[in-house]
Amino acid sequence: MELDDLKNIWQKGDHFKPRGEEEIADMLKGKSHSIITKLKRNIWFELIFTLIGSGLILYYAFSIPKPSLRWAFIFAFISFLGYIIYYIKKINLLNRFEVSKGNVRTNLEELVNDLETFLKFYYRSYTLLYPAYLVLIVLLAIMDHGMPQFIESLKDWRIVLYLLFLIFFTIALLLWLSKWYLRELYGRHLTKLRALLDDLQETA
Amino acid sequence: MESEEKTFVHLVNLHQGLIHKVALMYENDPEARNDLFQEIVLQLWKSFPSFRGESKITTWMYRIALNTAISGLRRKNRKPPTEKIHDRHLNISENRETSPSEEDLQRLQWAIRQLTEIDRAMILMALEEVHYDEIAETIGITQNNVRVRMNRIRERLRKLMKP
Repeated sequence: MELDDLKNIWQKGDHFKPRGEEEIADMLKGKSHSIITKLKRNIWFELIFTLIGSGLILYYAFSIPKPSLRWAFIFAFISFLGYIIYYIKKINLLNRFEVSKGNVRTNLEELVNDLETFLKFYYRSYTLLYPAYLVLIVLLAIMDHGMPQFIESLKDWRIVLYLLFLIFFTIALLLWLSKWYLRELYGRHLTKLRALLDDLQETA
Repeated sequence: MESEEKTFVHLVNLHQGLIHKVALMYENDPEARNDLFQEIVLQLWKSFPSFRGESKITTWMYRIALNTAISGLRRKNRKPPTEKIHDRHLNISENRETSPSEEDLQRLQWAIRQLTEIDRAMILMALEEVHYDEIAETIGITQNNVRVRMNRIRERLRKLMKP
């Protein structure tokens, strides 16, 4: 079967329902269904929520008379600041994910590159955040029970061993879960994009 | 409507067949096809201010439409329908009588959907009488490679379309 035969068959198929100019104009007011647009919307929502939350936490931190609670609020505020930086960085990374005006190959190269950077950043930030959270929890526990009691309890090697095990186990589990989640969410898509790019590079 | 928007809407209206065909080749489900159509229009609109007429309008439209369809960064709410050739025949016989040419067309559309996303893009443009140099420019490979791949695609389609 030659290309001309296929063209003959193909040209009989202009049976689509044409859209009017009004309908096309209405489409421009619609929201993009792209995953990136949705992710960006969610992150903006989380960022605004975190900004409001940090303001409230700071206000309470200085209006609470109990010092241990005040410190707890200050630590929470610091972790919220970390999140704000994290969300801004994420938005910046997502802004790079626009559909390229370049050719299909360039677009695929850019997408694979951007998606890999995004996933690396996502995973690395959790690698830092989880230990930071654990340190925060331990600090709050120390403040709650008092430093002398905590130091006293560390004299028992079983407690030290138990604490170390708990910390390493929790971090390892959370990092494994993040990796699994990212693979489920974007991993297959990245594999598919890489395969398409490999296919193109073989013939280029 | 502002003048830029008016010009854009007019252009899309004029070349909407191109978008319809890309959507048809990359989405089998009618609702998903509509979503893809709208997504392509939105992406074209986003890129329209930077279109300076250096390439043909259809080349520019193909690039954006194919990049949107191939990159697949769209939300997938629905399960992709599994399409087998016998399902297609069942649809034909249950719903309505089809002429031999219509059956050939459906067979061709089914066969194209079995190709990889890149091959689908190439055959789609070739069937729409796009020159090999333009296909090469849109995909980002050499004209020689377009020829080699087109031979391979034609061979595969021939096998797939065998009754």
